[in-house]
Amino acid sequence: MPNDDLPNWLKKTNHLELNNQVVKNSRIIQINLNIISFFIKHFQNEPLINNNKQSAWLKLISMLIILILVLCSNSNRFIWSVFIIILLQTCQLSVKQIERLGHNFIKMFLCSVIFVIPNIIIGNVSATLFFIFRLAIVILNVAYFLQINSWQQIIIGLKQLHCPNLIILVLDISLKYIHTLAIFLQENLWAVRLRMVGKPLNNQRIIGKVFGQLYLNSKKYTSEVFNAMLLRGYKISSVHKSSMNLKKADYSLIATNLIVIILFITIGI
Amino acid sequence: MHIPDNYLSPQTCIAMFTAATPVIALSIKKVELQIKEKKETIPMIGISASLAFIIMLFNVPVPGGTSAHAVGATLLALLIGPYAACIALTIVLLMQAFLFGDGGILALGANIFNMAIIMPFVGYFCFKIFDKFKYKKTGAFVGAFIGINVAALLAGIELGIQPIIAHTAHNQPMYSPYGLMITIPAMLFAHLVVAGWIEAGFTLAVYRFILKVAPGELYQNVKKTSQKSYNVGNFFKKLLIAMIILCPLGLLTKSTAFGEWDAQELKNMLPNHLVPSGISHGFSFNAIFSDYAVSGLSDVSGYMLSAITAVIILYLVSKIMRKHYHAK
Repeated sequence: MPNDDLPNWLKKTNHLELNNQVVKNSRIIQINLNIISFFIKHFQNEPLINNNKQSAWLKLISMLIILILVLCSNSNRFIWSVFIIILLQTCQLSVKQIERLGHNFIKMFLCSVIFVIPNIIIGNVSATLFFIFRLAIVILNVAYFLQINSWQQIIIGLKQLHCPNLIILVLDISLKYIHTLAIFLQENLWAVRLRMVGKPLNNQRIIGKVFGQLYLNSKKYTSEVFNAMLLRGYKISSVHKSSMNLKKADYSLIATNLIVIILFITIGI
Repeated sequence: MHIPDNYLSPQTCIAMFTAATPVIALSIKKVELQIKEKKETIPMIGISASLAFIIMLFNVPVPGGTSAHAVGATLLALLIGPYAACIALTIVLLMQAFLFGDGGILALGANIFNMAIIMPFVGYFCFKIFDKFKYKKTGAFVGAFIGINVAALLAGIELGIQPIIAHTAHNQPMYSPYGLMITIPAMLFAHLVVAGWIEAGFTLAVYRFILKVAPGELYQNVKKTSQKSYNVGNFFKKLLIAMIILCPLGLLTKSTAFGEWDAQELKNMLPNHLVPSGISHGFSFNAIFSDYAVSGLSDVSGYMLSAITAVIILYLVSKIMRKHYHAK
């Protein structure tokens, strides 16, 4: 007579619980692997910066002036005028740059606007709509700035604006080493994922080990970086100072800023 | 917690920049001292900033199926020290604002103040308290939890005061539209319930690992090996200068201190206006700076001059006594 009962090992439920835990853990690892991979690709992509000949410091100042004036204004007409000016500037970019600008703008806008949406439900519709409109212009201005500047240009701009040397040097080093650390983290996460096959691992311990190891490795990189700095003739007190010279291409930017300031005085306040 | 542009009024942005600048300047000075002793500190801060950036990319599982990321401010303060952590986090916020549009550019001062100053310093301070009682791990956990929540509270206050300080003639808010009654509970709830635990758990996990594997790499332990003896003399010098500057504050109270009344004042105060004979006919001495006043000078100048005179006399006495003591 055949035995209809299932074998004992199939009746055990802890196998399923074990599998669930493994799946959960590997999902988190996979999510982070995707984020890190995306980030590494982002850094490897060559920035789409056109041959913009304007001075870095002036572009930085110009962006700040427009931001401050837009924030100080309560006039639809002024903000609309600034919108048109930014759109005119955007027209000078290539199609690929415009696409990227649009993509960045949407991402940044959605992240920023989400907090203010409930205010419409509360009832302050007109004020919230004006807020959203102004927010969109502010973000468009920042997105345009990010599109026409590489991080090297931003660093040059900060140097020209006499930002402390220590900050600039640290910024430069960290921008270069983010990529290295991200690759190291990716390798570690792959190793963890491979070790996870069939057995659950404690999430907190994994995170502790991965980031602890990342920190210890970054300490090792420090000596390498320092040796490289010494080889390139590094001295703590930098003799080289960037000057804030005006180029021919800068006059168009100055003219644009003047127009924005005049518009603010006439219709913006 | 990154506050975007347009949520804070320009006045708030300027105020927050003003508040953050001296702390950043102090941190730069402190780190420059570290650099003089150990030149590798510069690349270390740079790489730590990269590490902080990567930490913010990493998603940690949250009960309920979702995930969120830690900031790692307290962790960084434990690893490289609060001043270096302050600079590293400032760099991260600069990068996020200028390269990725994450967090506002004008709101950078507020974001730096909340995340690069308050979080690492509060976290480190809490850690130090627990460390005194040898509870290092608890200190790391509690420090991270409190640090992020204090920063969230400040962000809530900064956002919540906007309708009060910046509104139109029709009382419509020009910037963040929510008042303190909404922003503070919203920010605190999110951080007390979710983000705080992630930050604390993450900090504890990494701190525990490094404490076990390479305890010598922790800031506290590195500091212990190269720590110079604390200069008590300098501290007292600074304290004395501060006291001299602040001593005219005593003039704010017009009434005489308890028990220091003269015979006339006592007579006015007593119900039967009878002053004990011991006081009315007692010994009276007219000092050079009676009541700390110098003839021909204002009360404030008189007060300060009295303080300076007393300090110089005490300094001379202590110098003579010190010499006498060392001679013995």
